[in-house]
Amino acid sequence: MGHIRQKLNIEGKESTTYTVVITDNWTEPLAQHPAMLEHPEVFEISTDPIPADCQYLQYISENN
Amino acid sequence: MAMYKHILFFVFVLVSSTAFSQYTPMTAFGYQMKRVSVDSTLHIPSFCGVPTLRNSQLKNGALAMDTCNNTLYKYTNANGWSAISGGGGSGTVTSVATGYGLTGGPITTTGTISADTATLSGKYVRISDTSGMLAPYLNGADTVSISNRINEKFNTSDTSNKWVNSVTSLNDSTIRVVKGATTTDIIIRSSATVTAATRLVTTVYNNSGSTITKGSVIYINGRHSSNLPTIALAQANTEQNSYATFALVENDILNNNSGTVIQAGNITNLNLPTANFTDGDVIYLSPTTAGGITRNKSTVLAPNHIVKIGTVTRAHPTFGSIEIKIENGWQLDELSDVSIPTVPFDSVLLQFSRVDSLWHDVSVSNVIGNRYIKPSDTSVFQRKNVAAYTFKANNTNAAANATDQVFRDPGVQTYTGTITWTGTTAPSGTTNHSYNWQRIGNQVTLNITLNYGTAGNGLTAVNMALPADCPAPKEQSGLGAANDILYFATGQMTTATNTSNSNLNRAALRVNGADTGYEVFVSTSSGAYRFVNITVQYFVN
Repeated sequence: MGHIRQKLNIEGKESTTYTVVITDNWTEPLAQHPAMLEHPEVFEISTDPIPADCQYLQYISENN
Repeated sequence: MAMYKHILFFVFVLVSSTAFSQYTPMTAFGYQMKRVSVDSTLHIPSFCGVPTLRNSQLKNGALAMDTCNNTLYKYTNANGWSAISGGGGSGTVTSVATGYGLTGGPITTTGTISADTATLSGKYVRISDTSGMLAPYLNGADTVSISNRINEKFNTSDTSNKWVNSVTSLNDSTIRVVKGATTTDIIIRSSATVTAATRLVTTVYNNSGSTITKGSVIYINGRHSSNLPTIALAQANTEQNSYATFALVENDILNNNSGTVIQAGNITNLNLPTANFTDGDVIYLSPTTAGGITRNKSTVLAPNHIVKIGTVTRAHPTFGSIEIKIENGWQLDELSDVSIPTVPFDSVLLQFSRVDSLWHDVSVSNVIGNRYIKPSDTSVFQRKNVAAYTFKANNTNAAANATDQVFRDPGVQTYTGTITWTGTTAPSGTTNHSYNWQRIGNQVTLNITLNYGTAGNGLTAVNMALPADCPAPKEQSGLGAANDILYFATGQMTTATNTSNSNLNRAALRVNGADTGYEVFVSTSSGAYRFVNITVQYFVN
């Protein structure tokens, strides 16, 4: 099962912080998630194991 | 000789009378001179027995021969007739008689005289009569008899302690007399008073097994059968090796030989090179070399045992000299006003007592006594054994014994709790998250700092799970449901570590949304933040 994560390299900046987008209440495909739709340059869908020391992001749509 | 003079005179008279025809018969004296012939022989009056005078002519001497007994007589007015004897010359024994205990005599020509053993038996002691001789006189078993004889000779009935068992020379000035079970040392003192001396020496014996060289420092460790003290090398490494330091060896003493040691005064011809010694140096017993010396005082102090040997009076490689004056260092327990065991208990103190005016070793508790607080006073002062993560305080409205209160300060730690951002993009990049908390009593102060290398975007809030090692907050009455704020906090999200957020920031400690734990949060206006700092104080149960 995949998850949406914030890319580890955004605009050439490497990051060691693993950020997982909270999709607990999202029932649609992950690709339809606002984060993926609005900022595909930032987020991506991953099937990698989620590390224990990750942080989470409650994505707020810019359209709200 | 007189006799011969008389004879010669008589002959001369006769010859003279004959030769000169002066013949005078002695008729007046009762004798008749019938014939006088001197041509070849001279005949004188002869008798058989003692001669007699015919008439009394006392003033005239006369000669006569007792032909029966072969004796020549003379007559004097003083003594009358007497046989003429003597005259010297030599003769031959013609008969040997025997006496008591001898047989074989008399011997007139040849023969043998023998001892008559049968006659002598029982009369005299013979060499071969050992049993007969010893039995009555010297028989060893006859101690009573001997004792009686001794008693008679010494006129005493108590012989048990009257005999001296041994007399030995203990040293140069002492004689030891052992009589019975009593040993008496007689010290011989010179009648003359010694008014000055340059050295004090003692004759000792070396049975150490090897030569003890000149200048070695020694102590007396026993006695030799010659009654001389035996010696061993002293060393300042132990009390046993140093406390009896006695003298320095004057010259090499070979093993199993006697020699002289100097207790006080000058010892010369030592190897004291100027590179190592200076005139006037005070020297000490070496702690590292048996029998050696050192001038380095610091090396002979505790735990070594200081023994002052003397002073260098001449530093020289061959003619070095030392004025000896040995002063053994004192142990604390050897001082006359200190009464402590040789090895006191650990951590004891010295305490002076006016009861006996001595210093004693006492425990800390005894030193404190009843006048001061001591570790054992836990029931009164509660000072002993403060529990882990506690301090003592009085949480009452009156004076009371202190009770344990929680205290803990783990220090700064890396924050690894769950972080949940609300916004468009979470901050990222290199992180430097930390937290720090401290509990005093039931109050906890917590600070969490999040520091990112890259700011997020559109961020409005961040939640941080309460660190796992933080005490759980007390949920005040009526609180405790999910998202209930328990304690407000102060904190901000900023775009950099050196800026503040001018917007309103809200911060608090609350129950998390799942009601499974606690979290702190900060919320503010949307912005590109990368730095969070929040501090909250809360109570615990």
